[in-house]
Amino acid sequence: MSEIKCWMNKLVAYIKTSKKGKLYAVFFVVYLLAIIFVMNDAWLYHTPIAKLTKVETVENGQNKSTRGTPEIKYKQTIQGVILNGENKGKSVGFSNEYTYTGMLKQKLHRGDKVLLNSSKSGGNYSFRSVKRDTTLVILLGLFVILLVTITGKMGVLTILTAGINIAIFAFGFSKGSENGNLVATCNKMILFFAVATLVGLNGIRRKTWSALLSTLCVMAMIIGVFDLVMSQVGELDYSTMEYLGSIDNPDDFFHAEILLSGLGAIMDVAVAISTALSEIVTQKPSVTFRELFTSGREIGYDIMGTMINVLLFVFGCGLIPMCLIRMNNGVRFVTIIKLHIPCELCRFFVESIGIVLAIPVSILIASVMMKFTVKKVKKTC
Amino acid sequence: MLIILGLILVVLIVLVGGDRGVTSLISLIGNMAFLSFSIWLMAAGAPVLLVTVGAGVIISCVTLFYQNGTNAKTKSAFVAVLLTMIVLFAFIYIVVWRNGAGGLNEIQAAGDDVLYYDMNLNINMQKVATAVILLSTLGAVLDMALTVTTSVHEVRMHMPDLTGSELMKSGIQIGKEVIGTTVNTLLFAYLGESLLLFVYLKMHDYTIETLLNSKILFENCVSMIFGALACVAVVPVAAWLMGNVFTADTPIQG
Repeated sequence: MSEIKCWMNKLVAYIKTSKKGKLYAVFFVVYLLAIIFVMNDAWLYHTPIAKLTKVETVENGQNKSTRGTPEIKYKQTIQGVILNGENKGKSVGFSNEYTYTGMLKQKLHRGDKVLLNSSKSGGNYSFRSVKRDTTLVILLGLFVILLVTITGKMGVLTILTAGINIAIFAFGFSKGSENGNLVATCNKMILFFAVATLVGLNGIRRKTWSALLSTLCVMAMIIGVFDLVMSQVGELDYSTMEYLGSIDNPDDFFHAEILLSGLGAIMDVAVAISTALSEIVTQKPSVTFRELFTSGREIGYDIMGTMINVLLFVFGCGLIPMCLIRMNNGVRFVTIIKLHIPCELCRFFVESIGIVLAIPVSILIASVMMKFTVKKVKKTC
Repeated sequence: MLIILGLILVVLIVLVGGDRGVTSLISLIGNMAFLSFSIWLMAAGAPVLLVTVGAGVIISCVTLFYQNGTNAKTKSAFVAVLLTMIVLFAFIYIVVWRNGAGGLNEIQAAGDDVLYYDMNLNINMQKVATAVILLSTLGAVLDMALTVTTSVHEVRMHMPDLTGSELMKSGIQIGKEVIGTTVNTLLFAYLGESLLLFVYLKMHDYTIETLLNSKILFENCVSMIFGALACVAVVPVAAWLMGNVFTADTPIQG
């Protein structure tokens, strides 16, 4: 006990003396307040929310699974208390059935907060979804705190940039769906994303413009390559695209998707190369063109493989659940690749091509912009 | 179509990367093969979490030791990734389990798959969701760890008298420089993935409260946050290991 007290005193002393400490303390308090707020934000909801007070789970028979093994079914009898709306404080009962696989419905736990569907006449409630906003806020806050603690000012910049990007996305999105032309807006949005991210993270410097120029060039190039291949070989079958629903112009959509998800990686490569080259030029202004090229290539080798790897894992792992379902229903792996995921695979290939192309392009643009004087730079901008 | 794009990619990698391009191509294909193999194992009913751990370790080995050679840099990167992932593993599992984030999301559940396919797989989808989140962060974390250890190694070669904690500081400094763009890479990768999704939600008039608590948003956000979280967390671990643990067997001439 006394140890904790001593430790607390030390902490208080640290917070009082150091400016940084004060800042962190404020951060932490805001974080805690935010968590407490979302934990109790049921009054903001129109949907009825219940806190589960009693959950009884029993096994409820067996099915045969696709591989012939038994698949146990469970049934839960659940009681909860409604936290908001006109029926606040009323207790409700409903049931929840799920299987071991838990493909469509999952197990509920005591203490969970859930959103409910209510019937028009009132009185009858059924389960809609788990209330997940608290976890989102907790994780987001944790990430922000960790990022700022470890990386300091850069972390703040990163978060600001990410925030601006999301704001651009939200704004462009609402504008785009208002006038019905989402894809055109999306292309403009990509320009804004690139400018906001590069300027936000690197400031207004010469290397920023060279990275921006290279990013845009590579973007144009990969779309060119994609269209060229499409026009030579024939259209891609868009009907396998996920969440397709009732979109009437899948072609445009796919373009936007490629550009958007490749943007981050391509910017990453462009920034890495132009930063390194500008560093070299500052250190040694007499460096020749050829030397710049060689060191640029050297850096390029290092990042190329890992960047493609990053994309591979993001893309490949997203497909796991879908593959599992199909392979357990007698669809062969080869068939999945041929018929079910050509869009995803195509996107991955095009983005990887973008990453590889970004290396020579940014070396070229960065060396030209760094070597020639300010006059030339103004022209290229 | 796909074959041609694939060929273009291979040719470009070899052209731009030369010998080392071929090396990274081989490890890329190896990673793809291991990923496919672990999907196959999971589909055949092998314990999901065990397969995930195995796949993670093997993929890390291929990426680090095959692509970049066995030395202090890659060893400490490997240990750093392993430590970070173990901590995250527990964390991700709890989050997924508490929030019922496994299985098909709302849109997929409303799609055709449910009609065509039998959903009794006898594979726990909560565990699969954990595996998906964990493995999808792996690429970025490996990249981050290797960047940090490589640059600490460079610093040590130039200034051999630096102490362990000074080296660690310089490692974190370098991590700072890189982390901004890595977080953005992940952000955009997931934004691109969810672009169609947002349109779908818009078309079907999802209310903001349903959206905020939906499994779809949760899946995407959690993958992104954990990816970024892992990248941030691995920086000090890798820097510390490089500065204090893997010091003895560093060859002077690298």
